[in-house]
Amino acid sequence: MTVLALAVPVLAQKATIYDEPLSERRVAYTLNVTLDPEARTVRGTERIAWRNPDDVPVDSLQFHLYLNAFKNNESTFMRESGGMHRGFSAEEENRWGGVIIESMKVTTGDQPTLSTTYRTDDADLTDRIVYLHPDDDNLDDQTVAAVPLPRPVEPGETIFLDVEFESTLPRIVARTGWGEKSDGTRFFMVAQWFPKLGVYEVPGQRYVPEDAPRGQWNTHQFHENSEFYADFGTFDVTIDVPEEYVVGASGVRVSETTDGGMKRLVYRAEDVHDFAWTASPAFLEYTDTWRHVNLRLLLQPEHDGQAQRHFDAVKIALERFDEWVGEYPYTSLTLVDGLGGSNGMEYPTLITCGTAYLLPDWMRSLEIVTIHEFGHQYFYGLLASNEFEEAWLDEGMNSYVETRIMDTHYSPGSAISLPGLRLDDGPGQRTFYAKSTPSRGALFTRSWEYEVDADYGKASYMKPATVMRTLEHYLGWETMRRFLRTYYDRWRFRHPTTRDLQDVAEDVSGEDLDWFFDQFVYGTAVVDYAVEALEVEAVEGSERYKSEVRLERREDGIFPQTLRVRFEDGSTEERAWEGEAASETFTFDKPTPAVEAYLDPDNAVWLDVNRLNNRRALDASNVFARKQQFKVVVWAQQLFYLIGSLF
Amino acid sequence: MIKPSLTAGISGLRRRPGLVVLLYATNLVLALILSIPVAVAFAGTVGPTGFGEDLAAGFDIVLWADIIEEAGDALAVLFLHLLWMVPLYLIWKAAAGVGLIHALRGDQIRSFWQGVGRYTLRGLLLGVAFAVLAGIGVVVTLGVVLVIGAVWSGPVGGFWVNAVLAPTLLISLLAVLDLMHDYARTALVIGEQPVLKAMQTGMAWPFRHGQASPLYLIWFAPAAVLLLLPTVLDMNVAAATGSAVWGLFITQQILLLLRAAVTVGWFGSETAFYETIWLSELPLIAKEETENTPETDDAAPFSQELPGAEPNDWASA
Ligand SMILES: [Zn+2]
Repeated sequence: MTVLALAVPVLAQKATIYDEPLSERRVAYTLNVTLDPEARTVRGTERIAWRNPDDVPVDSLQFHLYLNAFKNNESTFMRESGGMHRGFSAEEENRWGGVIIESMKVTTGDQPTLSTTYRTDDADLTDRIVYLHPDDDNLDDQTVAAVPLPRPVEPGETIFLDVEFESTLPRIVARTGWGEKSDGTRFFMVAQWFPKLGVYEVPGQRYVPEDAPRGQWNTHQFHENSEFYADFGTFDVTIDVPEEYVVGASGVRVSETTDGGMKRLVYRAEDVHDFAWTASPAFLEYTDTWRHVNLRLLLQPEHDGQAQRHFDAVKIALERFDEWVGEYPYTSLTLVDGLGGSNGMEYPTLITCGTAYLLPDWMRSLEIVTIHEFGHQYFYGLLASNEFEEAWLDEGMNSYVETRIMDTHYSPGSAISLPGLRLDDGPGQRTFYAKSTPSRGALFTRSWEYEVDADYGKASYMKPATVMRTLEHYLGWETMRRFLRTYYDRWRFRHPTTRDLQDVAEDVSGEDLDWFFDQFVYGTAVVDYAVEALEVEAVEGSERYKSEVRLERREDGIFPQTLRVRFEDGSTEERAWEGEAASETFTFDKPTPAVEAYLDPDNAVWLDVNRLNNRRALDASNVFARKQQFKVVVWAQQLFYLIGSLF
Repeated sequence: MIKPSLTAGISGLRRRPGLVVLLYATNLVLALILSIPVAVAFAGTVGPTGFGEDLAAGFDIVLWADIIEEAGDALAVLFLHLLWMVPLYLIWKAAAGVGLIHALRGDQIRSFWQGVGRYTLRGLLLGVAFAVLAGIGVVVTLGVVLVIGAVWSGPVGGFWVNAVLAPTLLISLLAVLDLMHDYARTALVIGEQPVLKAMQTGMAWPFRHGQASPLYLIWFAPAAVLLLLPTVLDMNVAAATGSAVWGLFITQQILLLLRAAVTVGWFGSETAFYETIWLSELPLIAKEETENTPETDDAAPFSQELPGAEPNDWASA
């Protein structure tokens, strides 16, 4: 593991709890930028270091210029989203953003002299920048740039670039940009904001074949539904803002100085793959700690009073992830209560949450979003899968653990907890999946290739949460936990794929899980088993009864089933069915008749899209129908009295 | 004048319990009709499954989604029924309103149905007129709310404007119109005023007679509480067995029966209040508008005694 030896400032606080690098650190960024709140720009310089990890020379670099997605209506993002995304509307003033690279040069002078430093006489690369469109033929999209180099970067060699850039922040769209409070106070969520290297994948990494002659850059345009992908490294970021601005950022704060009405903040982040920050004069600041982690919360003033809810939720998440998945290696975590569409987003050691004025306790949206976004420190942050290509690995795995934490800690009513209406997070997501055309949209789909746009959400969040909960019930929680821990141990600070995740599950369980992954991760098999009939007849000439249970598989999905039959004398019998045939009949010859047949009585197969047909009882009670009827009667009487009192 | 009016309302209740039963029973019957498709749908989809007791014990979104998927069409019928039931109910309520006033006016026992027969058409016209007023009022109120919301924007302003101010203004507006409508209807029946004149009388009433509003609020409070209590009970009582479900329902029905009693008492009070004032002003009105002298039915136009002054006397009549 070669590490870039860059000048490291003396740290007030270490960025991780380890002295040695935790990741391969193929990249290093040093940024010096100034926020101009009036112009809504962030401009400055960026020094990028990239080490060629391949065994062959690499003749170009590729960058993401994500902000260019908001440059005009012609970007792929805007075309796909029809101009609307997370509250972004086409009529707003000062809505557009973008990033301009004013110059890009190979660093010639003062960088640390490594023996393997890339040198060239033709240092100015500015005019070499071209835009790529790896995902579509939209020539107007400028979110991916390539820079052919004057000579290739040799294996193991490190190239340093000096970039001058200006980023114009859009009105908050797709999680980033500027917003304004009703009193005119500005808010900036500065994310996806600087020219950022793509990931050069070497042979054997992710889906690049082991025997490929060379690696390749993995970059994608910014799509309506896509998130991001980048390499691990270090960030040294110096930010100048007007003095009155409160700033939160990834990593740890190294220093803070004030001079002439401006404030200079220096941050350092290690073994992360992105850096985001926020600034606003309105923030209220709260701090807390959890073990080795300094927690910092930046709250909108109108949400004062909800600080403890944020800290309680994030501590529960820290505790559970530590226990179920693995250690949180960073020493800081910043929680940001942003504006509008900037909320509910994850960046390394910084998350945006989101709440509402006077949010009642029974509405757990604040806890859900906080725990979810924290979970991304693992599924995205540490386990840095490619969010463009395999969104379910970050959103879906995270939704699974999120629902499990919510349902463990806040159930019943982990999502909504009103008397008479207690809704849990996990069952809510299961229902969303089951009732939104479950036969459409596989987990393993590139985020911009869903035939129906809305399927991205279902297949990236709700369905994987349901798939993983079903796998948990199938393997048992202890095995599932070992799977999560092993996945973490094996893949943290790297870029796992769906295949890697399946390998871990198979290693840990000792079972070939192709049948499961092929159906529910790569495919769109739908599970629905039903008790078709329960029939009982007395056996003539004896005191015995023949009870017959007919089971049906009503969709293409196959999942092992358990049938529990209850008899009149209170006894029960269980039968296993592999569930492959379209139907199956179980017959019981006993001195007592069957009164109930119940498939999946322990509610293990969350993928079953219709649970109501899993059960049939001959002695069923009508209490529910009666109760509902009475509810309607009373409700109608109330309605009549109400309208009657008006007219 | 509030206390005698209240007393008159309550003694009207005691005198005419049949009216309470009538109001309650028509509501119940309509509601029962509405509930039949629901009962059939739920009995059909959930009945044979054995999930009934689990579902009665607590909300289960997974099973509910399956039920809605299967029985959704049957449940949609419920809303179709409302399309004819609500207008029918409004007509009934217009008839019942004039019937109640006629039956509860002070001098002697009069037939509810006679009042219905005599005043329903005009009562309906009056109802339509007030519905139009209410529509205009709601639009204006929402306009005001929009303007205030534009000035007081942001999450805090938005909350107070939309979640507090708007409902308060709307409820107040409708309550004021309801009060006016009550007295307009009374003027129509007791004063025998034509619709437009009655409407004028009603709209001027709270301004001319300061005690009308407190009297209204005194009845409004129990009416609102009794209307909401069944829901509070429903949310907080986990009835999962047959007997618990019946117990809850019967308790709710008692509350709704009391709610009907409040309606009768409310009408009685406002009728008495109107009559008191009407009687004191009658010579003046009669002089001014001889063409509108109330026609007599089966009794003298007014009693020798002020209604409410000696409630027990006319209660026993
Ligand atoms: Zn997420």
